[in-house]
Amino acid sequence: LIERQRKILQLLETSGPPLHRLLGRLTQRHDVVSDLLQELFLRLWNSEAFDKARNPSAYAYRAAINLAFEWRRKQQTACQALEQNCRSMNNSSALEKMIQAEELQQVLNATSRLNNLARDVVVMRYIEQHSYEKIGEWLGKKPQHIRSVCAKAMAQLREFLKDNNW
Amino acid sequence: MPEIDEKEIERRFKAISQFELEPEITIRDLKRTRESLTGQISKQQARTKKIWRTIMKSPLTKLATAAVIVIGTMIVIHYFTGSFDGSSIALGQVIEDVNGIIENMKRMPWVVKTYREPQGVTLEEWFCFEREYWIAKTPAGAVVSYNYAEGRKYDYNPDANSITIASLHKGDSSYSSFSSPRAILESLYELVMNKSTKPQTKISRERSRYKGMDVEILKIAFSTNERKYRTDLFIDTKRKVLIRELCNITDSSGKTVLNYEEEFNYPEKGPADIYALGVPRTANVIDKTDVTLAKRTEDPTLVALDITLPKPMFAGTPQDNRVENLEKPLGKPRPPFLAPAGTKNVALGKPVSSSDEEPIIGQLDMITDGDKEAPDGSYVELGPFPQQVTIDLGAIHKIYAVVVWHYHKQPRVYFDVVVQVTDDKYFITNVKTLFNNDIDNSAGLGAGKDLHYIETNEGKLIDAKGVKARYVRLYSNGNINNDLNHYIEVEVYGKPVE
Repeated sequence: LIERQRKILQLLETSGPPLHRLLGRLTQRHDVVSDLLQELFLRLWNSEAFDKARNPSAYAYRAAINLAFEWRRKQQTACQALEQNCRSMNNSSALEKMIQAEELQQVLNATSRLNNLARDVVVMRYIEQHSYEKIGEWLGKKPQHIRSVCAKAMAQLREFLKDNNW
Repeated sequence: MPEIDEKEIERRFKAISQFELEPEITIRDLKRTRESLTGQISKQQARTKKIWRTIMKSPLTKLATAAVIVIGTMIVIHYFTGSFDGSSIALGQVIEDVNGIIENMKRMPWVVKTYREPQGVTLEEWFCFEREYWIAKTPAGAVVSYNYAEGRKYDYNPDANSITIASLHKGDSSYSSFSSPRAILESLYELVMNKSTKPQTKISRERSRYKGMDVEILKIAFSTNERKYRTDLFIDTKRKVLIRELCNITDSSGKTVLNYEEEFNYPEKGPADIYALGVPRTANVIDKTDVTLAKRTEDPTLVALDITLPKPMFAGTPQDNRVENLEKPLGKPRPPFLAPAGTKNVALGKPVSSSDEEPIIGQLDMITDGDKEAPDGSYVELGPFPQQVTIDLGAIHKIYAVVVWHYHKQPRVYFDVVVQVTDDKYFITNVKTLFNNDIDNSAGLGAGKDLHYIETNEGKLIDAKGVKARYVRLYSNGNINNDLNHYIEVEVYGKPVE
């Protein structure tokens, strides 16, 4: 138990900030990130699979992606616009902000429709901007495979977004 | 709207990736998570220290631990070194004193020991040597008692609000390592002797006052290869009994392994039974004693299945008038299900396939991973319309029961629940239906006459009557809340066919 405790708290120290940021990016909501981060680490603490994970950081990363999209799925109402903490939008007008936020929600919603592997790969590649090699290492697959998953996912995303191009 | 090509998608992803949170928000959230995690860990640590395991099996937290350490240490010193620190007290006197202390404690009508760790872990134990009775309570409200005179163990689980009564077999390690409360002392004596191989022991004694009493404090320090032990024993000089112990154990690097305080009190009266320690009278009683089970069945080879239930997420079993053909709630825990000895969950860890190979939430292997708890992260969500999951037991088994938990966070009813078994992986031949509540044949597997039921933490137990099969398939078709299908866990109780 002590060893597990050390492991989970160490993970919080080292991977907590990037996981926190990732949850923010995938939800685009600063007001829910705190709860999601807590939920994530409590899940990890209670997960037997986490104990067996070869790479705890990678496992936590995938769990965070899963959790964020699970949260998105539960959101029945329209997602809110980007909040004040989104620095990238600070210079935009209110209308521009709304349009941009809508666009981002569309692509995130489309991503949530991908299968788990494709979704994880897309998030790691395009949002977290990791290399194919790094993603392959985390997911236990070859970089070529990741590249292929990315290409197929992108094609699927285009289809999804075409369907919903309002 | 711009044309949504690959570049546009990448542009949007890039915008998403530029979302940053203020550093102070990150620091705040990390702090909250750390606190939340620490709270959870402490809670789990408290639970992990199951009283019966901690107290009855660990040599460090038993009654009069410290007193026995003294004897054990002294004897070891005598055997291995023949001497001890020059500033310490006379060996013979200490042994004599401690022997007397233990005998005095045994003569007390009741001994209450309260164990505390700085992290907040507390345990309360009551001993009655005359009645051969021991009872303990954790902060979480769990109560366990060993009545050696009656040969019974009582175990109250506050989460399930149930009391399990089991037979207490002397010498049976599954119930107790000891045959009586007195045996705890004797056993400790041996344990400490065996463990202390190279002591560098120092003992001193001093007079003091504690809680208005004159006390003598025996300060003992000794080492083994891996540990350093320090313990202070507070002896009530009037009654000659132990009233307090402070203990600190460190590893070879000086890091604290265990740090605790124990207080001993000697009341005239103690709890008559587990109800006296706060167990509600309304708690459900599950009697698993040998006598009761033997009466319950004419076949003595049958035993009650040991089905561990997850934590309930709502109280009682509500009725739902929207669903026709609904099973009336039992209003009490499900009675034990009897099956031949050796029957176990043969689905644990077995591969699962499904009509929906890409679940919306979770993974299919979660259905047989042993996690039956209701919170998010424990369930698999399959798509709408009729869906099935199939468990491959790997070989033909004689199946006595199938227990399924769809989703028990809310009192839901799942529709068209059908459970089939076969030895044919294509489910074409030898298919036997164990349960079917699809009253209008909407799933197309034939109309069933079984009742709808409300999901609870008990899961649905389906009597398989010893059918022989390798594959178990479970269908469902949405629930009263939505069109989706969920599974938390499926257990298949059986035995391999010889």
